[in-house]
Amino acid sequence: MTIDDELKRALRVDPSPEFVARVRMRVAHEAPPSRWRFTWWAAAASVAAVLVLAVGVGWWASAPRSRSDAPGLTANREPGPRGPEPSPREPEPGPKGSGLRRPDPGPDRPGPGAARIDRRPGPSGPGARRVDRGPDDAGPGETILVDAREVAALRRLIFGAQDGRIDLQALLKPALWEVTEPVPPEELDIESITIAPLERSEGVRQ
Amino acid sequence: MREELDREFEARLVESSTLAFRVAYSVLRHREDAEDVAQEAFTKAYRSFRQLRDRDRFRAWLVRMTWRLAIDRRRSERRRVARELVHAVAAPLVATDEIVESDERASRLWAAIDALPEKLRVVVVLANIQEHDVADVAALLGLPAGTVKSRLFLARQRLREQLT
Repeated sequence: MTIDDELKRALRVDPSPEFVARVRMRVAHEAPPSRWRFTWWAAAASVAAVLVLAVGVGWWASAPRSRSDAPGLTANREPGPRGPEPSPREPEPGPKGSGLRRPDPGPDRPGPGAARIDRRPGPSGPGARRVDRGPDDAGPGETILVDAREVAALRRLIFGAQDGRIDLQALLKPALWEVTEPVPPEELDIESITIAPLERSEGVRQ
Repeated sequence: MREELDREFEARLVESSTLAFRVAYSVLRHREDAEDVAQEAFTKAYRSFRQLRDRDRFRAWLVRMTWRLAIDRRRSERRRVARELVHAVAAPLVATDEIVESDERASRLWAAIDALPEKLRVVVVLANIQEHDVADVAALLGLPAGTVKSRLFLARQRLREQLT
């Protein structure tokens, strides 16, 4: 007798006659087969989709900084010779402790005419505008691009307020936010409406 | 719709009940345990029956699920002492010595099968259930026929070494 014959003989075992009936009974108590079940692969696919989405969003959020190297946006990170300090038309900032600082250039707005503000300590390129920053600002080596017109406008506002040419206190006066009562309209003359009575045949449901 | 599904499932149940039972029995060697496992496999198959309406797919899924459940059951019940080794074949009346010898031979055979790696064991078991040929086993396990053939050859060779 070969091994296969022996194995066949050993496996020639049949279930009890009640086996199929028992399966039927158990299945009868089951809920009907569902159309869709949340299987492990569906869970894995969901997790993968969320990860891909998170990576995509992260990449998208960091994309503007990496795009600053695009042509025309002048994001030169190489240190150059120290350029002239603030231009003559800009007044010097007030004494220390005055509470006024140079404006923080907000979000990146690259475009034609963007001014480069180098955050790195040390020499900066010609024409670059250096801005003093706190220790919690972005780390060394970062270059921020700010629209030159925005920088100029902010500086004009701050230095104008410092010099007293612009009165920001006026903005805080409550009169600006006082709600004035609306002027009542003059007496309205509305003609009385007269409705003619219906004819006998009108208005009767057919 | 449910009636139609139930009818199809009934047909699959009737034609595959012995297959599932024997697969479970080849692992557990215990009738009641094998029936429990096969029953559980059928219940799981019923829950997913919308995806398993194709006959071949159903049988392949059922075999793999039964095998897996049986392995799990055996692992959880390793300490079970009494194992049924009685063959279902209507054994002819033989002398007591022959019965003892037959049981010993069967014990050695199962021990040799248990010693095989799982991927060889499942192939050799399926090939000897219901006269499955290589193509059938390949379809049930979702493997190429060449892989099944080589595993079958290897399994037989190892069994021969252990039994002779």
